[in-house]
Amino acid sequence: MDNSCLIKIDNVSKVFKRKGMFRNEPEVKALDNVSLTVKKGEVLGIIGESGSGKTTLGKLILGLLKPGSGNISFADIDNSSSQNGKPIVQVIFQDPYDSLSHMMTVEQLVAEPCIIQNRKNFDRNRIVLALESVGLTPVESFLHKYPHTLSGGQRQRVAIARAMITEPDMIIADEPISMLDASIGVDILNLMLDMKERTGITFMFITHDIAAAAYISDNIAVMKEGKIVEYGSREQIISDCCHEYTKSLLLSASTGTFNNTSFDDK
Amino acid sequence: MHEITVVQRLKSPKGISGLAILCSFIFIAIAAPFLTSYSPDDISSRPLLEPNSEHLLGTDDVGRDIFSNLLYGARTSLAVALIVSSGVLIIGTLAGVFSGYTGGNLDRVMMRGVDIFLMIPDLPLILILAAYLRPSLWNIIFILIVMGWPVGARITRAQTRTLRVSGHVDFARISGAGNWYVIKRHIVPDLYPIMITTIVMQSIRAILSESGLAFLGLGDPSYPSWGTMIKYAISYPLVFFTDAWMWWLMPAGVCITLLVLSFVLVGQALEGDK
Ligand SMILES: Nc1ncnc2c1ncn2[C@@H]1O[C@H](COP(=O)(O)OP(=O)(O)OP(=O)(O)O)[C@@H](O)[C@H]1O
Ligand SMILES: [Mg+2]
Repeated sequence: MDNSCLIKIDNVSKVFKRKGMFRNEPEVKALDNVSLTVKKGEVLGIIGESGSGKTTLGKLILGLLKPGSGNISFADIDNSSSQNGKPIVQVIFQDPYDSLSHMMTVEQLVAEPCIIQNRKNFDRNRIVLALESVGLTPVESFLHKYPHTLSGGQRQRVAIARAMITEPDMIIADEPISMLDASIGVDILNLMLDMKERTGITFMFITHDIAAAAYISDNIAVMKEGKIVEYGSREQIISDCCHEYTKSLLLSASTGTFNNTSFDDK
Repeated sequence: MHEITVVQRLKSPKGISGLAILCSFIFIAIAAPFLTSYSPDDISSRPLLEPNSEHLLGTDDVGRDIFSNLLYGARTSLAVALIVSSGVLIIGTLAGVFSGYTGGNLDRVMMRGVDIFLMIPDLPLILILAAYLRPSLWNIIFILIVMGWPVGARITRAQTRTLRVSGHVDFARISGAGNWYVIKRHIVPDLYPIMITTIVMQSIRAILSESGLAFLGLGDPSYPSWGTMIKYAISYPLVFFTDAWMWWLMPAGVCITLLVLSFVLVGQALEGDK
């Protein structure tokens, strides 16, 4: 693996078997021979329709699912915070209703990755800063709230804050802004770009929205039915794409049916 | 459930009245020696006395003070309720969390075992065992726990399995959390509502079973029990021909009902009923 890449995905397939009473139910091929490299410090946009396997790809990288075939290798990183040289990957899940424990306050939620990593001795200011940076102000009024008293967008911002707080090597953001209104969405995108500039963190940005992907990404991979049908730099994808699925995405974005960041057909 | 919600819910009329009854029984049970000067087995008095200043509820057919029997009976009922419910809670929760969290074949085997327990009808088994084993309070407690934990384990396991694949557990894992952390911070707190229900239901079951067995004569004769009191009162032929039932039979029945009612009320309040 050459120096510039962080994660290398090699011919990975993932099939979900349906365990029914009768074995004749169809299998779901969520990923079909996917190969992809994530380069250090880039923002990699993954776009594709619902059910095209974007979340599955993210979960495979995170180790929450085991690949059916193929393998995923990580670059060695000299990083004091990671023990085995594997890059630390954090995640912003798609569904903020499921991904925040409703038994914890916002403060505990955001502090959780720090507590898990270095046992209590962390700077409380970091929590405040993280919440400020995602626009949950005044911070004091949010610290002791429980997630069920927050709106969907506010939850998602808590999820973003806690993914960023440990400053990992990479963040997989699974449709982080699809529940936010457009202006906050742009703020979050700018925040991510800013973090990338400051800390050189790598992002994998999963979205439905080609406009958002075009705004933030360096490279874009287009997925359809478990395959990567197109991969290239942002300019390549936008100006001279060849696959008709990408074309249809671009067409719908330019005619305005798909360029609203709060629109989500999940 | 958060501490704030628990307090809020207990502040509803139901919660307050349930807690008030429960606390007064707990007070009675603890303070029994100070509230009466007779021991429950003391048969020195004349039998079948009517209520008077020395014997607040009179005496029974062998001369025991009914009032002190009632007070000490609360001890037995509450102790059985406490031990059985905490036994079921601890064993059921441990087994349920372990089985649901481990998953796989172990889980399957354990749940089949639980199913077998669940298929055995409770009451007949308790009757048979209580009749064959030495009539001792500990045997009754033992049987109630053995027959009770599979219910707790089943519910706990179902909840654990749902939680195990939820996003917040995944997130904790990704952040580097071990199994112990996940169980402590993400699974057990979510089980509090189930635990509360288990405690309430098992307490009621324990109180009713203990009194019922004592009433049938399968209780432990060395512990005063409301069930035993009712049994003696009813088997005394003249109890309904005099006024004796009013201070001999009724108080024990009222106590059982009130204690069970208090648990029901607290349980309903904690579930959020007004
Ligand atoms: N745990 C699972 N068991 C069975 N099938 C699954 C599972 N998870 C995902 N799938 C299937 O795999 C396919 C890809 O799912 P995935 O969640 O990766 O889609 P996605 O691209 O993230 O879609 P969306 O944009 O709606 O989030 C879908 O057809 C889905 O039904
Ligand atoms: Mg998805």
